[in-house]
Order: sequence, then structure tokens, then C-alpha cells
Amino acid sequence: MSIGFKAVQWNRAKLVYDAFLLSGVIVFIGTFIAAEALLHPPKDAGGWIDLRVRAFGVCALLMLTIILSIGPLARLSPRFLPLLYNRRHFGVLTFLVATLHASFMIEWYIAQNALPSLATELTKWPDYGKFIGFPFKVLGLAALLILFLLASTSHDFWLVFLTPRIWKALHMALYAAYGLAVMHVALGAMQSNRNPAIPMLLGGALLLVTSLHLAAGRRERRSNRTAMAPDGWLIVGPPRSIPDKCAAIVSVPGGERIAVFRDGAQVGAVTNLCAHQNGPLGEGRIIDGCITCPWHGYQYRLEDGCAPAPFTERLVTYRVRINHGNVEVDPRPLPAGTRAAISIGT
Amino acid sequence: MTRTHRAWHRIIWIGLAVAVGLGFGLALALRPAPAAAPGPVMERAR
Repeated sequence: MSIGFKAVQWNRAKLVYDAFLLSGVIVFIGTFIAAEALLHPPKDAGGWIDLRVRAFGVCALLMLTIILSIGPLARLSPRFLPLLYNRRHFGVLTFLVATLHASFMIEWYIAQNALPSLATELTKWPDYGKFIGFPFKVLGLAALLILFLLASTSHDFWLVFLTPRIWKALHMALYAAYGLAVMHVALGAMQSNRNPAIPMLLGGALLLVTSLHLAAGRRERRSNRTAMAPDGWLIVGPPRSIPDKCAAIVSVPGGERIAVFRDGAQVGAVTNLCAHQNGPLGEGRIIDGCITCPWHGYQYRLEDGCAPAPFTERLVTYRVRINHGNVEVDPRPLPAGTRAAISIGT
Repeated sequence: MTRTHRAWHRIIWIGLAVAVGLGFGLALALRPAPAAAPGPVMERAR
């Protein structure tokens, strides 16, 4: 089996995103090091390495917190969608920052001529049975390995090779990496350093990610309630209830969601899953006459769910009708690329 | 996300949030007390 290689498609938006990202990281780390060096000047070379370890560690954890907040934020408000556009580069940069954090830690042990004590620390088996005193560096290492796996499979090649379903499931391991990183700090820096800012910031980050996920989940649950006509068609509502060039999302009991778009007087229904990364098409808009995925801008024609030439992606479509003044959708999917949109004559 | 992904996503993040929240709370509660100030002890020893 072979698969065609597809190079990264660079465009201005991606370059601007990456430039902001990189400058944000540089400014954060620079400010952290400068502020700490002013407030608590390191006494020796080891102190300077320790400062770098902390700066890169805090930065990596902050970046992970932001990455995990982008998804629910984008669901709560479309204003945050631009952050989602190049989230994969955000993830790769987080892995690089975390790797530097780990490499500075090793540098510290080398500078102290204490590398064997690191090995002893990691292989002190009775400590694995403790809670306080658990070898917390192992937790950080496990998080780093997960980040490596995700960064190395972030390219579209792996997305196509593994299929969006498996790729997406694999990349949910980011939650595990975040949990490990939080516990790495809670059992490490939080135990050895009594600075109250550590538990406050760590707990605050955890609370933020959890609250955003809860809020987004609550909002999704509301959109899951869809009324049904006696013949099983799903009732969307009056045509005007669907904002022009936007969609209403309806849920099929036990099935996938359907995005019902209105483009002026034309109404059409397609699956809510983008063919690229299963992004939520119904949260996108119609741009240049095409349904545009909010995640990465993949486009499909409203009338038949086909991507405009030269692209070949096709979406499953659904029959729509106007009944008692309401737009209704047949929950039984049509073959991908079937023409199914109707004109409502308004 | 597909329906299956959404279900998995919900299970994973809720489970992890509870586990990590508990772990964080325990780690905070069981933090060793700060070392006693050495001054008086040193004076007593003298």
C-alpha cells in the first residue's frame, strides 16, 4: 500500500499565525527569565539553567492549556475560530518547547556532575508506590512522549494514511498528556516550592479547561434536541430561522449530525462532518457559493456536497422539503455527492 | 467530530478531569509543611 505525499500548503494566514505564535513564545520566555533574574538573581551557572528549565516548563504548560481551550472556545464563539485554523503548528511548537525544558533539565544534572543521581531517581522503585515522593519526572517524560507521537503524526500525510477517524482518536491523547503534565508539576515543583502562585496558576488552568469544556458540552446538548415529523423527517424550523449563508445543525437520533444550510433562496443539507478532519461544517459559512469548513477552509457546493474542481472530496447529502412552513430533513443519507438542495422561492 | 468521537471525548476528558482534579487536590493537601526556621534551633544548640 502506498500513499501520495502532500507538502504543507503554506499560505499567508498560516505564516501570520506561526509568526504570532513564535513571537508570543519568545516574548513569554524572555519576560519570564528577565523578571525572575531581576527578582531572584541566580547565584551560579546551575541557577541559570534552573531558570531556563522553569521558563520553558511554564511556557509548555501554558501552551497546552491554550491548545485545549481553543476547541471549546471556538464552539462557544466563532471569534475564536482563527485560533483553531493552525492548531497543529501550535501543538508542534509546544512539543519543541517541552523538549527544550527536558533537555535543560538534563543539562542541569550534567552541570552538577550528578547525572547518575537522575538515573537513581528514576529507578528508585519503592518511590513508585508513594503519592508524595512519586518520581514526578517520569510523568513529564510520559507527557513528552505523547506530545512527540502527536507532533510526528500531525502532518496531513498521517491524516490521510490513518483516516480522519483514527487520527482524531489518536490525537485525543493530548488530554492524557495534559493530565500527566499537571501532575508532573503538582508532585514536583508544587511540593518543593512553597510559592502560592504555583498551585493558584496550576489549579486555575485546570479549572479554566474544565469549565470551558463543560460550557461547550452544555451548549452542544441543547442543539441535540431535534423535533421529528410523524413520518420521521427532522423539523429544522422556518427557512428564515436559518441565518443566510449559515446553517442550523440537527441531530439524527443515534446517528451523525446534519448541517442544513441556507444560501438566499436555496436550502440544502449535508453531513456535519468535513471530509478533511471531521470538522463541524455546520459551524462554518457559505463563502463564494460554497460551504466552508470553519477549521481549515475546505469547501463544498451546497447543491451536491462536492468540492469544487480540482478537488475531489464529496459529502453525504440529505433530502430537504418545506412542510407546514418548516424546513424538514430526511435523516436517511443519500450517496455522497447526490444533488439534493431545493429552492424555497423566497 | 463523529458521534463516536464525541462520546469518547466526553468520557476521556470527564474521567481525566476528575482524576487530575483529585490528584491535584491531594498533592496540595499533602504538601509537606515548610521547614522550621533554623534561627531559634541554632540558638538553643549554642
